[in-house]
Amino acid sequence: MNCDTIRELLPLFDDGRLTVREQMDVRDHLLRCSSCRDELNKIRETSSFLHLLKEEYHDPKKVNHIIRQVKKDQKRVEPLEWMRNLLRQPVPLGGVLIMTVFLATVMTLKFWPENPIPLDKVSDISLLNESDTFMSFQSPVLMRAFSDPSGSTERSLQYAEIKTADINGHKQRLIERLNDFPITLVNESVIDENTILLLFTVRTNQQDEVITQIKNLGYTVIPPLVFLDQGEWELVIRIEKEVTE
Amino acid sequence: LILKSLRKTSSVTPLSQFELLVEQQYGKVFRFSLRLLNNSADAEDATQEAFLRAYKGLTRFKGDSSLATWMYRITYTTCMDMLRTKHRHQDSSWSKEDTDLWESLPDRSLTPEQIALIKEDRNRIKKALSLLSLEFRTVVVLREIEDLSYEDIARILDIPIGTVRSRLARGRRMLSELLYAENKACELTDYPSESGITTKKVGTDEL
Repeated sequence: MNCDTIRELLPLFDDGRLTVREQMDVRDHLLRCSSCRDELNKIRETSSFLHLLKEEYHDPKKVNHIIRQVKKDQKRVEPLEWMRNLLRQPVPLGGVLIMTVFLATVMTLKFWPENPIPLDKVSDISLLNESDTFMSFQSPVLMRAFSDPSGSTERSLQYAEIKTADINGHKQRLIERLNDFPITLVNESVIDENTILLLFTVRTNQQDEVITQIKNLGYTVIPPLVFLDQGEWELVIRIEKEVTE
Repeated sequence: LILKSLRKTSSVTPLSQFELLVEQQYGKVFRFSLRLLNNSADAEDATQEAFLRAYKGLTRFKGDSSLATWMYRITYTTCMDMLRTKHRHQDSSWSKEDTDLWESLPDRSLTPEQIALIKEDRNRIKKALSLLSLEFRTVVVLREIEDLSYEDIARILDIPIGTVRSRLARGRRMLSELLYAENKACELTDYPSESGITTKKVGTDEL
């Protein structure tokens, strides 16, 4: 081995981490090479210098300070830890979420205004014509039916909003099915290429059957919203159907 | 013993047991932080942060390594985080303005002249050490100052033992070159043997 190779190994010579072969080669070389012996001396002296930095720090004040800080941080961290632990446990978290949703639903139903918002204050009112002031539509709703707000208890106005690529097919199907009931198609209005509104009347006491029929057609009937207008109850039934075409 | 008593604890480590850990490991953690950060104020912050992390993670300590090695590992990652966040890689070199805490340490049975010589040599080695890049400095400090085995160093730094070996070899050589290049004319001083810092010249009979 030449000096360069030996000097690569010299820093590890005293650690005993060289292989037996390397250890022997280094030893043999050092016996013959004073320059590499000087190099080893420097490394050993450097190591001795480093030992000057082996001071033992022990400061009770600093130790106490750290303990105090840990106590302080512990108080600050504990609430967060509590939250983290809660999040780690799906069952209690799920329970909390379910309870929250349940309570929100109950509160909503319980405190739903007995004197509901007048129709003219509902934000997204659209009108079929001047006389249809009671109409209210909410954009995601595909079909709605309203009772007659004019005071008649015998018949009610029903509106259907159909949103589909096959408007005529749905309209025809709906009317055919509702033909079993004494309904009258009063008006229809095309909103856009995918939406048509059907206005029809039906006897109030047959509303439930009508709704059942509509459900049987594959529409989803959402629980009604009740509005009060000019002293009369208006029954708003939201009916949705997924567009699968 | 501390480890056994700590591991018996369930989810929260009692502070009394943690205090014992701090008392036992404080010196090592602070000294290691000081050599990595080259600044006593930063080293104090790092020491505190390391113990805080240790307290939080003590229940997760599996006992795969010694408690000291585990503390070194936490201290190392804490110091690295500090260097990263404060962008101190550039100005982490040792500065004379930093107080040499060694001077304030008690129980020095040395004469004022010896203390002055040691102080001078400490400054030389500290300066040379601070000029080493962090990856070499860390390995040299853990081996030469903290007296750790290659295996423990590999565990602390999460690197292979072969890397520890090569970094140590290069680090020691570079440090030696820095030390002697800076002051070629400086003769190394032989210190009293009781201080444990005597240097020896190697001869052919000592190989």
